[in-house]
Amino acid sequence: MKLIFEKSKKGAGRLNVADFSGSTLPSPFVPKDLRREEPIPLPEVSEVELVRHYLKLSQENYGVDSGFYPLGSCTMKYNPKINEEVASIREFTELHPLQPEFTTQGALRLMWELAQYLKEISGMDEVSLQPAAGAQGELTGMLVSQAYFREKGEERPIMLVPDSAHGTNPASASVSGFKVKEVKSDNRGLVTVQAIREVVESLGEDKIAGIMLTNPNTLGIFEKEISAVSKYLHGIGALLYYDGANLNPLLAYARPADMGFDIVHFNLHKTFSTPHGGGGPGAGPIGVTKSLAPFLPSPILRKGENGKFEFFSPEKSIGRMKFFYGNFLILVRAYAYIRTLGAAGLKRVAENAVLNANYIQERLKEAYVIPYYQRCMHEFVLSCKKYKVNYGITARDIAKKLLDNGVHAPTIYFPLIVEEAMMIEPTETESKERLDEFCELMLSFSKAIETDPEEFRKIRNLKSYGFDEVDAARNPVVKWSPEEDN
Amino acid sequence: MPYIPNTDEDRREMLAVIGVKSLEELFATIPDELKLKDELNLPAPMVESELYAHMKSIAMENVSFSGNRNFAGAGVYLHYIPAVVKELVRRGEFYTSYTPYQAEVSQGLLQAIFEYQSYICALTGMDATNASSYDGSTALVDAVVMAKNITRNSRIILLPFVHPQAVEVLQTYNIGLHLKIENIDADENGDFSIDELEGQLRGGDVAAVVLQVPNFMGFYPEGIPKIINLAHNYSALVIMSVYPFVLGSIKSPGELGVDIAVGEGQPMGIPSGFGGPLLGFIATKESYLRYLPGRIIGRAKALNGRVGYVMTLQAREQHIRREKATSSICTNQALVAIQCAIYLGAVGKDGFHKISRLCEENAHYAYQKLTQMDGINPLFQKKALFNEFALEIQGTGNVDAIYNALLVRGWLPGVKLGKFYPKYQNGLLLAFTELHSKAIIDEFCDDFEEVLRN
Repeated sequence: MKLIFEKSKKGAGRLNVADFSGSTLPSPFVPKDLRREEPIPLPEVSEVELVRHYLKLSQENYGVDSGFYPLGSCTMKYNPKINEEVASIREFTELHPLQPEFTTQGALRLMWELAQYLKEISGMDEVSLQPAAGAQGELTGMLVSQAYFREKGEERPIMLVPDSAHGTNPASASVSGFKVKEVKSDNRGLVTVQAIREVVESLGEDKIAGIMLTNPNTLGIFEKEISAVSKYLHGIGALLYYDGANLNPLLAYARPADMGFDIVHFNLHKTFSTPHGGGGPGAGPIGVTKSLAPFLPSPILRKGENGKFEFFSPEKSIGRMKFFYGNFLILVRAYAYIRTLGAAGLKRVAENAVLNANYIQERLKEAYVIPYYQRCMHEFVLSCKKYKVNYGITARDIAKKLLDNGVHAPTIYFPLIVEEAMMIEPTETESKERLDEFCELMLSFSKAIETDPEEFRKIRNLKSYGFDEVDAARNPVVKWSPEEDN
Repeated sequence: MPYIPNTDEDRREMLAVIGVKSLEELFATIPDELKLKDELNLPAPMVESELYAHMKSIAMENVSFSGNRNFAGAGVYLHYIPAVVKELVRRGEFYTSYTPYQAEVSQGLLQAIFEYQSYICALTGMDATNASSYDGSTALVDAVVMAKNITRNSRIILLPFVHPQAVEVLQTYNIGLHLKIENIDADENGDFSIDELEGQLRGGDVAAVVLQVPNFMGFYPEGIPKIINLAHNYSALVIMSVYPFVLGSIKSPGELGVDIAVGEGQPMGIPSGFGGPLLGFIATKESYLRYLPGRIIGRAKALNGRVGYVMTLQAREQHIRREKATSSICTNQALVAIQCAIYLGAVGKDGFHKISRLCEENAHYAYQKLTQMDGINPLFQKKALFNEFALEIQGTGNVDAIYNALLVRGWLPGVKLGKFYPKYQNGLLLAFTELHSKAIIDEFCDDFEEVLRN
């Protein structure tokens, strides 16, 4: 499809902005050595053409609103429309972040209450809403850990990360100054005290800052030994970080604090239904236990004695993670979601997310191999290895075939500990009919591959497929150039 | 149950397929001692109509100022957002999708972000950019990390009046970065000595010199081309943080020889939203493309010959490189980037330059009127301004009295500088955009004068 720049026509764009003195470039207000002579090459398109352009683009995109989106690890649940509506209330959208606090009490109340809910859900003692996304939450948690040990006068340079972890975990630990050491999962896909102890003892107990875990882990399996793991790590003075990407199945069932975690981040754009927006914006608040609360980013909120809400800087704060207070309009959506569901509703969310995942797992377990088969939580990971070995059909081929049949593909090739992995997370907002359609499709694929792998490989419906990513990276074109129009 | 489509009958059938009797049984892998015994203590659920009323009542506890009665800036600016922008950004196919890992069903989003990247490159005069950073402050951190990795040097020199919150963010990230962050101080009138800068550069090991244009106080630092040359003479990179609309009036950072341009994209079609979500942009020269953090969208050829778009150069990113990645960013501000692109398409070339000029003209008109009043001085004398400036309200404590009196009259009269710099307790920072017409400015100035007299 043509780029907006290629649709430009001189004189076509006519925005109704108030008129100015009429003088053109160069601007008389700019110091001579900086003055711009020529206008910026922005396109000129009429409003109706702009609308058609983006409408067309949106039609070439697939979202949860389009259909089933079982992208493991991403919790692609339905995004309630009322949440969009309330997030566009003018008294929220038009607030300036530097207004005096007495004029923003509604916003502060909402944030304060949301923090209370997140504390209750996770069992943590204090919450910062500032981080913009899960990975920034992780980074915040890691910096809090750095500050905590610095305060104690301990030098603990190493952060442990299991081999099944999300890529953001080692990256966040590393960006915050830790060295990352991997812990191997056992043959059930779980992290054990024994495996951790082996790594710890080879490096020195007093060198270990902590571990980053997600529970259930990226195989969708609950880490049964978690209490023993936290007891052991606390015993050597280390901290436990909870990656909240997989919190959905635990809502109202179990809490990270009770498992012994010291820090947790929430992905509001996963668990609490705020839209993923094609990659963002999300929100990644973090919760911590009492001993870490003084190190949280600045500012956080408290309720004063007079009932007024106010920002303050925690005593030993690591400082600020971003401008202002966090992705406020995303927080509004998550707040609305929690208020809609209440405690009982959140419990139903967890139950139905787990039910849906187990249902698919049961239906697919004969046709596909599930290397760590057991009762899963909100997602599970199957392997397409046997199709690769026997017929040359990879997880990627199967993913593309799903796309060709109008369904979004699951996450593929992750976690790294499963060969030809396909990670399936249906979420609670899908009906049995949708799950059945998906299962039928996957089962029909298994037959089709065994019958005629070459025929299976053929793509019939996608407009374009098989992008040459190697060439795209070798000869990168990352913007439009005016020369192209000639 | 809201948002859960399965019926009890469905659940029974599904449990039977799984081979368990109850939903609770599905949670058997969680050890009993970890299972919550009590229900969570959360407010009772609400139906949609109740929720809307509740949200509206919370919202009404705020005092919102319409854009034309609001002169607060300091990083977030009130510009008009055309209706067409708000309408298009709410297409469900965009906002309910994930990061476009599956290019075949994400061409719309990928092209929209490719166009966003093209816009940012056009504005900054640069060759490459990413699909967004969290905000202007983290974009600055990203740029500093790039400079560190490109030069392998470890000192960062900040010129005066880089946004103080951005500096705070840089210092927080620096807990893990271990850079030496040094400030060049401003004199009484906000200026700094280029000799002092040269002295610092002479010490070597400088990764980057950072400046903001216009700076936090609203004026152009003097001798920008000279600063850039000087930094380059000592093999340091130059990072320039810019207010997008200033780019309609000044040469692009690329043309000026800047190495990395960053900024806060919020003024381009994004609501102030109490400070979030915002939009960080970061752009650089072609040679530094592979040092950029986060998602980058590139053109690619499909098997059937069609041209399309994919996430490219992923070998830089956390999901591939894990602990060796230079940033942990995963979720970014994609939808906000698209909103910005739609906005730029809506205002177009003509509109963008008109808005830039209106910002300048309205601010200069207000500056003339306000600085003529008794009891007000410009905080810094004889500065070249864009759309924001700092005033000094004479007399201890007067700034608070005047600020509050103007609030009562329904104005948000800028931002008090004491919040950011203790030494400028009497300072007030005011920003102007295309929303602040001559008539509004006249009304504001009349009120200001009355308040000053009382």
